Amino acid sequence: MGRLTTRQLPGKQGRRKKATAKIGLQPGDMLQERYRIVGVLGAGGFSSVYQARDMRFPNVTKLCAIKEMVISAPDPKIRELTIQSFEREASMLAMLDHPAIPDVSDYFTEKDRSYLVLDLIRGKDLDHWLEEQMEPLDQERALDWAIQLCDALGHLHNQKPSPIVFRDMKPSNVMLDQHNRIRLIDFGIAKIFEGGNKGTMIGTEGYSPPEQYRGLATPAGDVYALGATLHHLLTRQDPRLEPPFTFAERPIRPLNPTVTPAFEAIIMRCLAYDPKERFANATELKEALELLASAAPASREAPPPVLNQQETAVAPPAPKAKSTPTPSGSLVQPLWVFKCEDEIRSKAAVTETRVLVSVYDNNLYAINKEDGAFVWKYPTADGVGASPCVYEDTVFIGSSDTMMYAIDLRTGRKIWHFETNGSIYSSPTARFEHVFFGSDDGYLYALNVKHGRSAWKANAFSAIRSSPYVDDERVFFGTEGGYIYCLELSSGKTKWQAQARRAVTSSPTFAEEIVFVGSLDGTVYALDAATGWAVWRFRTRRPVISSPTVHEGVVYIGSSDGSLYAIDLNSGRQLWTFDTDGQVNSSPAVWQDAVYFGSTDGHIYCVSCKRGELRWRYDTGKPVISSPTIDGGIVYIGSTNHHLYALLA
Amino acid sequence: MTLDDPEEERADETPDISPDEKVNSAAASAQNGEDDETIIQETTPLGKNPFVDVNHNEPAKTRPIISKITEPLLAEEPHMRVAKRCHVGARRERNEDSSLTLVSEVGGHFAVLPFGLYIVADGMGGHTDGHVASRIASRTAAMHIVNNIYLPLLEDSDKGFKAPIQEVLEQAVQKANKAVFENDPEMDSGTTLTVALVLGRRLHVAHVGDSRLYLLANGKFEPITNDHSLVQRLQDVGQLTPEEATFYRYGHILLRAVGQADEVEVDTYMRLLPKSGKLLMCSDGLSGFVSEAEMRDILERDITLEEMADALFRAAMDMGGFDNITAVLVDFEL
Repeated sequence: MGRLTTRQLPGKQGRRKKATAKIGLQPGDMLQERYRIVGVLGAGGFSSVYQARDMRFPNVTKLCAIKEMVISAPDPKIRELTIQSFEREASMLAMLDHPAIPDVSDYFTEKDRSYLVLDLIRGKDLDHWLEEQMEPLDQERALDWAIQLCDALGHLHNQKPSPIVFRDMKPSNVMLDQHNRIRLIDFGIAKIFEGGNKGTMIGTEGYSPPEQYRGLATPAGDVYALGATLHHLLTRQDPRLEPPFTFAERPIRPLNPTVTPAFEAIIMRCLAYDPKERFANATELKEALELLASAAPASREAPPPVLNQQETAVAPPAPKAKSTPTPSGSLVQPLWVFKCEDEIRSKAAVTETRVLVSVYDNNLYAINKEDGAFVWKYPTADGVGASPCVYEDTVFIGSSDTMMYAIDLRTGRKIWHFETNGSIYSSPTARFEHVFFGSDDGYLYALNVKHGRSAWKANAFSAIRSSPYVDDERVFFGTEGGYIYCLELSSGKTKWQAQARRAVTSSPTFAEEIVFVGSLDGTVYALDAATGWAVWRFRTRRPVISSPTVHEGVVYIGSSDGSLYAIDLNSGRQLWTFDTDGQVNSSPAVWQDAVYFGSTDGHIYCVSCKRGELRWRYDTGKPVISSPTIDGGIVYIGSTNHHLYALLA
Repeated sequence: MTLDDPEEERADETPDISPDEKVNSAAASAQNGEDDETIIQETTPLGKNPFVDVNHNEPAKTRPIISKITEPLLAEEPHMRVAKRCHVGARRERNEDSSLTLVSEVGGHFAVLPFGLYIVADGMGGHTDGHVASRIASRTAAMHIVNNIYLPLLEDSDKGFKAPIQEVLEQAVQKANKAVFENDPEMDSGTTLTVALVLGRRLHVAHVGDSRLYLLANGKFEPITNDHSLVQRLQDVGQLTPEEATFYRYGHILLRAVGQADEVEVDTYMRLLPKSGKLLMCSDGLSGFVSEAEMRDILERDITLEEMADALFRAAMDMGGFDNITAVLVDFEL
């Protein structure tokens, strides 16, 4: 099964909080004969916060916040320990002196609950703030808040003899007061998963660092949680609804354009799995943030110095990369260019010494592979849209003049020709001493390569422009009538047919007993080769004319919606897309770790297989419908600008 | 390709058109074999024709289509044998696991693809209706798969559009999810759900939670599913070693479960199966207490499938039987 994906989990409305049937304090209740409960401010899993009035001041309304902690352990010894540690923490908090940390004025234990009396902060916590906002937080405010939070956390981290770890940094524990100042609330009193029963589901906090799940609480853990909080505020992606520890897979900038690469890099460094790769404590983080904040807006694009020794902190780019001019783009220069009289729409065939390409000027050209010099051309009676195929010393080429030609590779002389009753746009495939191709007359032909005699022909009842795929027993192809056929290789008899909703002009490919093909209905189909039953289908937004290629478990295919798609073979799920400004009707080819294709935006593209990142692109000025052929590290591809290019892959 | 202007070929949402007309005419032409007969006369001498070498020394036209289609399957007499245990264990009061198996092998001249459906669901303990959740989930998923894959398979027709198998499996889990969620919208009942479908030689899987599917074939014992659990995620990011994970106190926390929301993220997966091997599906009452090495050892013993299922169950009981124990074993020859 694939790794955890980063797809959005069901929205908040779909997920219910565990029903809590806990009896809390009611308005009017008194604690310590001093604090009268006014209302509930908030309730968490094991603690509640109340608003109360301090009755020591009977003449004025002095309000305070009272935090209640339920001591749930049944064992009296553990209860005693819990109360002790609660009181120790309360005492410690009482000694802290920081404007963002509320003052503790009292603590006590009654029955099975402990209480902490704090300043009442008027304002709202950032969880509520998030719910109210429609837009993501902008960088300027995020930086301001982050620095304030670091200042408060830094105060905790710098305590002697040992640092205090907040442990529970998250938006709901941060208050924004009426003066727009940041205040921390809820001091590590509720610990993660305390009292979690066997069978508890969906239990991740989302903000906690991985090591905290092993019981390790360090200042670097607070740095992580602060990074997670910032990530949430900036992206509005709730980490509690995402697989845990997937921040690195969810870059911020695609969702929030106000964020600079430098700020994103700082946050991503906070979110490193390994605590050693993060800022060691809030003070270190604060220094980096202040440096960023003080930099003039124009120079913000440059990463701050702290990142120079931390290359791993830079977030991976978005999986969906929009094509942008690449600095190396201008460096791609053709090894040679061959000019013809008309548009090149086909895919070149490459042999040891020759490149063969068919052109709408009616000709099939043989070109010297080394330097792009003309060797010979063979004229047919009409335009040639189909691609040539080489088998031993013979080149096969179909023409709109209805003929299939067999031409001597060395001399360019015709060996035989075979006439069909329609134009031929289907590119031939040669195997087992036979050449297979379709015609607009609705038949698929199998001819002997030597003399062009027909072994069989099969009626597909509509024009065939798809190029057949031939395996050891079967022939697969699509028809303009919208069917995908599987024929018996030996007889041409139909084994199965599957139906698409529109024409299948795309040529099938085959891997792991699955046939892959696109259709003008906009869908990429994966069909079981034995039965024709679809195992999955993948929808693009527009017709698919491009033919798929499969490489290391990934199906690559273009769509006239403008994108190249990388689809996981085993699940039919999209791995990435690469958008161009035209239609991708060219069929991609893979060489080493990159995929190559053309677009009607005039470019030839080279994109990384893994993430779909642009490596280079080359502008031909006219739509590129032709498909690349890659041989020995060289990409051969034509353009409708009448040129064939040889480019270094 | 040859068309560069699909603008006018805009994909629309027209419903699937019945292919009857074309199927019929195709069948008619295949039956009287007009085209083939005339063409085959021109064929090169048989000995030199690689088609004929591959496929017997007789003219192709004399063999009926159907026998050719099913030939590779008939030759092997495929089978899937199943043994299972679905037991409350030693400590729990109630069995909250559910399992379901359905195997169909239609032999004969008109053989049908081997079909094996195996489902394990582990209802969430500690929640009131774990046993109900696992029951609803397994049955709802099975019904959807039977309706959309098994029945069309028996109909054995080329007519109409058959939904892609991976989509059917995903829908089956979504339906199960909805059924559990809607049955009990107030309470937190939930379940894991792992569905394995063997159709022909291909294994299709849809999976949510921490029940597991293993494949033993060609001397390799490999997990097919990934646990959607906190403990797995911690291992993925390098915070827990497998040894530590065994004793990890939050080992029971799931990151995804069926019945928790109105939609669930489903892992789907498929692969070609080797000609023969074994599948093991289990709940964490087995895999949480018995090591993979021990499970593998049991599956490689020279004993019957029933004895293996028994040995797996015993191994989990020997560890205390702390949870419900489910093991579904499939021995396949495809």
